[in-house]
Amino acid sequence: MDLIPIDFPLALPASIFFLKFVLVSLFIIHILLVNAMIGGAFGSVFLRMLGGEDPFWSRLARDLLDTVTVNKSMAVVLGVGPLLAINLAYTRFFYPANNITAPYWLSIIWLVALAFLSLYVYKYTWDSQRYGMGFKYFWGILGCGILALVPLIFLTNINLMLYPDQWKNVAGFLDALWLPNVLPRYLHFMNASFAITGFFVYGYFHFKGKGAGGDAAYFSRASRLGMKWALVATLLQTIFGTFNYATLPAAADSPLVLLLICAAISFAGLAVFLLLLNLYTDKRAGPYSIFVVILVVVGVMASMRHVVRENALDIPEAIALRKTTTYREKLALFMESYSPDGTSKRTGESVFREVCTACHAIDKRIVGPPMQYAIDKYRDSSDEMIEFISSPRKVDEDYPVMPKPPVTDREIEMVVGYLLGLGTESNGEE
Amino acid sequence: MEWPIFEMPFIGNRMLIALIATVHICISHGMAVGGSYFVVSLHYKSLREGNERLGELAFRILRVFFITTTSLGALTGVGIWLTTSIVSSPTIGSLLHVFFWAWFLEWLVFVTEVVTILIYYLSWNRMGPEKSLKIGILYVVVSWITMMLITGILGAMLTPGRWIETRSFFDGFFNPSYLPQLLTRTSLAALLSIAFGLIIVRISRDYRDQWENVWRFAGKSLIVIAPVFLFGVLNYYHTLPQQINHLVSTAMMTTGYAVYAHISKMYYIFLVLFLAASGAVLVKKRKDYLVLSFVPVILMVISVGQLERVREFIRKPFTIHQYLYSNGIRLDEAPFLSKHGILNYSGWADRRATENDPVLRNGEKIFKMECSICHTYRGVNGITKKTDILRDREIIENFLNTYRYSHPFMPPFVGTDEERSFLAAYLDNIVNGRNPQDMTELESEGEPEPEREGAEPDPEPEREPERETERTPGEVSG
Repeated sequence: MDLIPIDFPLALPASIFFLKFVLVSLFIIHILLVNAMIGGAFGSVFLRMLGGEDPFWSRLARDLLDTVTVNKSMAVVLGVGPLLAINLAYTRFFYPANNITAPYWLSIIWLVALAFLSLYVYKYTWDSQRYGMGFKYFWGILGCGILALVPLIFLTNINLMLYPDQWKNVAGFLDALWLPNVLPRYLHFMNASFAITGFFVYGYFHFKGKGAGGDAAYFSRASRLGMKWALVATLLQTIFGTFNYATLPAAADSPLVLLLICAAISFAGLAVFLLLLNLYTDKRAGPYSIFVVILVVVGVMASMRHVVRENALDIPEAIALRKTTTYREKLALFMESYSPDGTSKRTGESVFREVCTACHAIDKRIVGPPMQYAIDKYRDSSDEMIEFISSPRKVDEDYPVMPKPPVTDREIEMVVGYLLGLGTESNGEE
Repeated sequence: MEWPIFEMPFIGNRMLIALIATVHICISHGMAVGGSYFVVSLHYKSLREGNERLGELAFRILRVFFITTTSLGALTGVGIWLTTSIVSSPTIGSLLHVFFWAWFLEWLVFVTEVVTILIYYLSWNRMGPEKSLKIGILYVVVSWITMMLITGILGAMLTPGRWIETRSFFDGFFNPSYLPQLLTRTSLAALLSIAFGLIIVRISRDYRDQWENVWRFAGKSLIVIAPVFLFGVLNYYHTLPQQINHLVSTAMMTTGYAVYAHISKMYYIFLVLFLAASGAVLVKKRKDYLVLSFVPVILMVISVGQLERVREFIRKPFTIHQYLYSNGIRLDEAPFLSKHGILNYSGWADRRATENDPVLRNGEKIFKMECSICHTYRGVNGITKKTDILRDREIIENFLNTYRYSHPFMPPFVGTDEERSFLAAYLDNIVNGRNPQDMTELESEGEPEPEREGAEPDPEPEREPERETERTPGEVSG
């Protein structure tokens, strides 16, 4: 806990509640797009592979890939807002976690860029005769593989942020990866991606199919497939969700967390019911009702994550506040009795020490020549020495040109007086 | 205080940022802000002349720009956030406290920008040409507004102007270097996009019939925009605060940058002459010379790197001028830390420390806290290569005492006298391979050490406030 940084002496630009609200609400949009991006990319590769000769599958795969182009761009740009908010709302916890996982955390930039470029290659060589299927799948699979890896890095980092007591024990990303709750959460997330993609596919093809005329069969088959996809993945979440909750550290748990989870499960159950109704009975639940329900589920889950975050950081926040207050009090106390020294106390000697000794010593060469050399040279012509210091020029090939020192004319006189004085003193002693 | 420390091995922290920033600027300026102008201009031209082939060529250029901006461009943009906040958490954290709303607003515009380019690109063939062109024009406007906003924030870091006293958002945003920077960036964006465009067109051999058309347009644009760019850059150099100008000259002399400042200006003059001449050739001859397609982009990328480098350099020793030193220590807390010791706040440095000897370990921690932001060990600006300045323990101590005068572009040493000697011992060890034990004999021989400390108690940042007034006007112009 003693690694928690001391806060900045600057006011937050907005109330902390507002920032946290912005963080949670914008993050929901971001994460939904990320889910649809990952699921869409996987679908576009694996449906094409499994579909064989059936044109339905290759068309569906192609259409999915088109949605990835939009979803991925929106996912990235809509991630920046929450990033700004988390930077401010959890500065003292977010930055340290980033620091500890740094090489992996920073690799996200290049990994995601590479994934996007790979998917572009996959997309724009789709119909090309020049490249074989092996080439095309290589880029598709590379893109998907990276998109599956990045959330793991992200979750590891975000999880590490919540447990400052672990910072001392964790050497880097690979240690942080094995903290409780990271892997279960990752599985929960990846499966959610497939569930959300299912709902997305259902809605996307449902609305696209309206007024599609002869193509209606394709669209209804695709949207039905999306429903099944959503159904299976949502049901699977009971396993991944339980696993996730079971590994949640005690410090992050509270009755409210459990309550929210129960609420989310109930609404997810309702979504499942509506999907079943749609798929296997004559009754129709409109897509809007299903989307409202699933948005409620996502909203409740995000709120639950927020409560977890607040619970975990409860004690660390208190410690951080105390550290900051103590530091500011000490600083304020010090400043009361502190006043900067004036320049009037400067003497030739102090100016020499402060300004010249980085490059000159009296009796040996450092960057510039020993001062004894200058003392001998200018013993009887202090004006020339003053003139030289005021506007230095190249004299000796062995030495670099002296930079013009940041001193006043008066100070130059003092330095020259001091140095030439040294000369006479030592002469006198001899 | 006590923020995590990051050390990028070999290339150093600043080079890491510079690399990402240069990539991002080339793409965001050249392919988004400038790219929108270039593509939309060709798009307009093709509609006006009823030339469908030119429209197709414009779309091909747009595709390259679209793919690059939505992958590398977008991600390096986020990457600048991730990287700078790791390299200097206090800087980014502080700036966010002040400029959150500007960034937030920029982000909203940025979202709009992404939406418009998605619509513009993805519906090029589905939408009517007139409507599509309108979206394109919207894209030009929106992408320029993102630049207009970000320039205010970046300028505030460099030349905060009255923000230092008022801490008001508007003083920081409309800072002294705002207009010159905006002019420079806008013209730079247009020039870069022409340079990128020339390459893409040159490669598109199946559109040879349109080449002449593009050369003429690109040539005219070059002739008009290049002088604007030069005007912007020179103005920008001119408005950098006097104090910074002064630092540039002193700092450059000691580190061999003297030539650099002049070469940099000369470079821009040369670049602009070259671009204008290329423009003239393209317009007059209406012919492609391989040189004219590929060289501009190389020269422009170098110039982006230079602008970044000069910016990075003149900011020293601060990341927020007169407020925060580049090593994350605030100007106002420096005297306190010098009095009470910086090692009290070295938890993160200790995490990274490897030395076992207590003196060396303390020195190492101080090195990591105060020096490692700019100095690697053996790589870029490597400390072990500074054998001239850090020749022996006595010279090092001397240097640490005085370098704020001789090397004003470095943040002053912050810490107690004892901590300074820890750092000196550590530097002597890593630069010259001497152990701290070797020094004890030397110290007992030469008396000056304690004497000096007595003569100048707690000297460090106390002089800071006077530095301004000490300077004579003559030196300022440097």
